[in-house]
Amino acid sequence: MTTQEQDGASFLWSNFFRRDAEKDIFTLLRSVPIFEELNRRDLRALERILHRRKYAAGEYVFREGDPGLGMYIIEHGEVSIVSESRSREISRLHKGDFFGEMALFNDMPRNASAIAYEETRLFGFFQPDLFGLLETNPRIGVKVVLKLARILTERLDKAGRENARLLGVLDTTKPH
Amino acid sequence: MLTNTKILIVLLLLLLAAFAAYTVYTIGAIVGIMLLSMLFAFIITPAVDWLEREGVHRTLAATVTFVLSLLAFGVVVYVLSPLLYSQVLSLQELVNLGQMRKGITELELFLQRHLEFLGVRQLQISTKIEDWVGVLFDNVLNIASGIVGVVIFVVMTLISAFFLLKDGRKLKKSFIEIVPNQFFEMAMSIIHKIDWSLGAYLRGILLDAFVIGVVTTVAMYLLGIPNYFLIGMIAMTANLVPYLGPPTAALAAVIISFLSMNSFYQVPIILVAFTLIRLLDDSIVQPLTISQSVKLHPLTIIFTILIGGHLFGILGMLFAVPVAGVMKVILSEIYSGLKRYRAVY
Repeated sequence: MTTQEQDGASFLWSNFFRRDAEKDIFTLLRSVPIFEELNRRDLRALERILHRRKYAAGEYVFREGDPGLGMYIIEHGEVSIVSESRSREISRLHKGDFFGEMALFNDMPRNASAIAYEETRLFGFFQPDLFGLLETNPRIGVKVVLKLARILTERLDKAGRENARLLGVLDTTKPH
Repeated sequence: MLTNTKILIVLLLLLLAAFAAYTVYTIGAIVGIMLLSMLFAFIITPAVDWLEREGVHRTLAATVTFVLSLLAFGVVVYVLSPLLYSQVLSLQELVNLGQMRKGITELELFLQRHLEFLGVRQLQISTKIEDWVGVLFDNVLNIASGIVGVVIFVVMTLISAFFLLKDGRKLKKSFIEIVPNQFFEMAMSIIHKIDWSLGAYLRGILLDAFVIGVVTTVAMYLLGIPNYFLIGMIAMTANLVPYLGPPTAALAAVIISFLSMNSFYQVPIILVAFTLIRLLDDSIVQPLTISQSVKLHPLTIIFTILIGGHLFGILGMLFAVPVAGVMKVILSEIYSGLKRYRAVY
């Protein structure tokens, strides 16, 4: 094999693997409910604005009380969500899970800390990215915002029903 | 209580400010290219974003906007420069013809007659003004002799501006990528806020100056003041300097109109017009264009102008306040960002 042929082959292989990696990222992103309605072209545009970050085991992604700026999607590894005020782990998240999405709409303080449980790679999607998307590519931006609104409405509805159920329980236990 | 991180951040900020000041002082021209290209990019970025929103690829959107802006600027210069040139020329002729000397001698005599009780005798205003004019023309000649440098400066600024327009977002992302995880969200939030506030501030002061320039030109034209366009241009440029700029422009208008008409009758009209324009600017134009939070204290403005003048001469005096405004935007966003993330209290 000549050097030129070798170069060509290596280019083909690297291109093949790049496409494979791209496919993996797109599959991962589409598994996130907020992005599930985006097509391949939209996902490519989205991937360009996402921030890829690497965290060592035990490293804080964000701390409880910090202003929220956006959400993270786990590409690889595990993240522990910890309530510092109650000194306990609330949940453990894995590849494909996401957290902090409420911060895309407001910069209220984070209500828990996120800590990398092992060496972890995350994709970050933040308020400035969402606003930029709405400004320069509103077609994708609106899809994301609508999906976010739907998720939040569902959660609100669920919370409302849970509240009603608890009130009912309270009523039945009240002494007459 | 101060933690090590906070001390480190404060030290880093101080180091950054000192480094920025040193850099500006030593490689002023390069910093000038950077600042001007950023300014240009900031002004026309909304147009590029709009084209991108309409489905045009970023590179094409940046190219189209860039070329159209240059063409528009070229057309404006081509159309208006003969008018400005003729007005500057006529003013220069008046100065050369000795009209100025005659008028000022009359003014001197008038002052001596009426203010003798104050001890006003030999003022020698015309000799002093001729000295100043001589210095001014020398400065203009110095600028003209550096024309090659100016061309290189302009070309480099335009190239940088184009790449900032095209790849600004990528550059910002690359910068954020190198920030350690601990400060990543904070850095991102601060950069975004600086970007937004700075864009709004720069577009605001330029729009304000443009509106005041146009209003002054129209007002002077309607009042029949000769060299109305030159006066309008001076008012537009001087408007970049708050407090001191508008009175300076009014004084320049009085001097120019006096040289052209050789009488004082138009002076009250000019002063009333400038006062009304000032009121219009303060009550309507500025609240609509410039964020009130960026307003600088008059004392800060005076010292800023003195420092700018000391370091970079007339241009330094002119751009000192906008640069101070930019610094205020950046530092206040950094400070509020650090406060939000509890790095300082």
